Amino acid sequence: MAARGPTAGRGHPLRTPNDMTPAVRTHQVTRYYPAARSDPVKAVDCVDLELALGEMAVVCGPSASGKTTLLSLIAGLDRPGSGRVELFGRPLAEMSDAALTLLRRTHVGLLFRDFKLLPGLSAWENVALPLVPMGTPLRQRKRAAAGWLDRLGVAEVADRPPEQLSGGQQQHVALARALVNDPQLVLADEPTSQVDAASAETILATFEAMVAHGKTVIITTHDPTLVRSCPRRYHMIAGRLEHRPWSSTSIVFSRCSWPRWGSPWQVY
Amino acid sequence: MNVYLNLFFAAAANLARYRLRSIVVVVCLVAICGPFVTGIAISEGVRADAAISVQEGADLYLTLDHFGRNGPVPLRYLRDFRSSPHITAVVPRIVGRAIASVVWPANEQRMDPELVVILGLESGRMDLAPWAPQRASAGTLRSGEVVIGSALAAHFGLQPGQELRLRVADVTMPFRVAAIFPGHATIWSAQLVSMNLDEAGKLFELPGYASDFLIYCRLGPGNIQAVRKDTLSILGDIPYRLQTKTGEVASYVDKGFRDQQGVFTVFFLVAFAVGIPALLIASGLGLSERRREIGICKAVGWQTTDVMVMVMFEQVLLSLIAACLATLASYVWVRIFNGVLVAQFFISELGSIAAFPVPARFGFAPLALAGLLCLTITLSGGLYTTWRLAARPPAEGIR
Repeated sequence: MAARGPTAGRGHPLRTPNDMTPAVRTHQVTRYYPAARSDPVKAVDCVDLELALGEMAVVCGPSASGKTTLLSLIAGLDRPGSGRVELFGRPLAEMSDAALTLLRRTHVGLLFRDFKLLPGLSAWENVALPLVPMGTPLRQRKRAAAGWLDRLGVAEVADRPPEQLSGGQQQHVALARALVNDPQLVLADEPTSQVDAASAETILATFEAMVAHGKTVIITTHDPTLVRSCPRRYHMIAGRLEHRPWSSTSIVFSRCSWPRWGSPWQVY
Repeated sequence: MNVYLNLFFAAAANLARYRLRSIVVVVCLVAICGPFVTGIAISEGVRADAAISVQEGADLYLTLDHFGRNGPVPLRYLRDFRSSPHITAVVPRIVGRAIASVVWPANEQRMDPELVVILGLESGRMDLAPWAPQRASAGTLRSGEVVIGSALAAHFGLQPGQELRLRVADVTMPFRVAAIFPGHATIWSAQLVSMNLDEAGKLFELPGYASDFLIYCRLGPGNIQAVRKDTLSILGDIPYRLQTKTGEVASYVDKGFRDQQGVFTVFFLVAFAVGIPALLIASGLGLSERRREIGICKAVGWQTTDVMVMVMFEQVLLSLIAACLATLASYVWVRIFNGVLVAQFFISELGSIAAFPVPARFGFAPLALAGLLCLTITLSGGLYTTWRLAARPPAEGIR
């Protein structure tokens, strides 16, 4: 599906994705971080992953298992030590920094775990940040941002800076920013970690609507609601990704950390 | 175009967001450029006044007071004035009007008499006149000789060696044209007749007097004031008029302009001495926030060039603000504080506080120079740092 909204009609470094091309494909992707006095830390270790357009996948796993690093590698924020990452059929290793940036601008929406909102800017200005270098006029930017904030139920905070928002509100604003450029691929790092159950349902519904429109969504989470609702689930531990079918949910959750919901055995 | 407009407004918003950083940078830049702009403005002011002073000639013009008007000055006071240690030269001068005519042979057409300006100077001091004729002997006119203006010569068809008659009331005197002022001389010399002081005295029936004394003072502060005191003591009870031109400032010009190069060197040294911390502040203050911000911008799709352009707009805005404030501060410095601590670099032997209004000219040039200096400082510091941050993988910036 071709990009719509602000990205429509703009040149980008990728072919127009078709239904046959995987949206995301990683092959033996590895990312080690050097350690001063020990062996390198294996953040991501030989990860294979393939997602088609219109698919949603959830990755869970304990803290420091490499989920965020994996998302960074897929988004092109970081380069793998070895292996291959392809977005929409194009290997990221062959793309320049400018091409990668353009790819993120036009095709990728990123939701960071710690939101990464710019202090001092209002909520709507944060949401509209990806539209600034696209030349979108101020009024149109404000309208687009307000639309997403309204859709996520936080329209009333549009003019407030992040410092004056609760964690949940910040998460909504960050999600609105990830979606404002109508991306083909959404990478959401723990998108419901700060929100209540009702808001989590709203966020999930948003993702499901995007998938229904042919977008691809990858979520890292500890939220069982999200995990339950996703047909493709992966478990990551010590940098390795394992595909877990629905029947093995209990095993998956037994290895996850549960900051809010307690033991998975209590949930299920 | 919209992209650049967006980036410009983003830059303006950033300046407001990082208020402390913006204020510190602007203050540093004003500290650098304020003295610089003040120096330039005073330099321009002194230069302009010097030009006027040179055109005006002497520093002081002395006449006696005659029923509230200028009266002739007896030449007997010349020796006293010339012996004053504060005076370099005193030139007595007679200025007046006379009727000029030419006697031609009977068979030739007579031209109407012409009203002319007579300038009588001491023999040998014709060289003081900036319109002095281009003739070796012009400085030493002999008795009965005059130098006439080009328009007058053209009117009467006179050539050097021919005779010109000058009449004042009942006195008529014949003179021989020794030379003609060149055509490119000042326009008011065109009707001028220059002659020896003694003969001008005879023509105006005021032998032993001059219309006024041109007094040239020594360089240095306080000399003009000293000459005023000398004049009072020399003339005693005789009322007089001593007119000051802009000579007081002009007397400082020579040393002032000689010092300018050194002054500018000092200013540049100061600029760089203060500029280095300013650079560090501009590039280093809030560096961690900046690194994170750039990382986030790149993560959401800002190109390195977008970041660079935005930062450049920030620097341009900062420079413009700083240049305007520096000019304003400089204006206040000159007009209210009389250029204290800066004027002395341009006006010799002034001391820290000038006794007279320090001349200054605020035009576009000081503002443009200040802006350029600010821009050079901020861009050289900010762009490289930004590029270094923006060229990193976004993951490093947002980590």
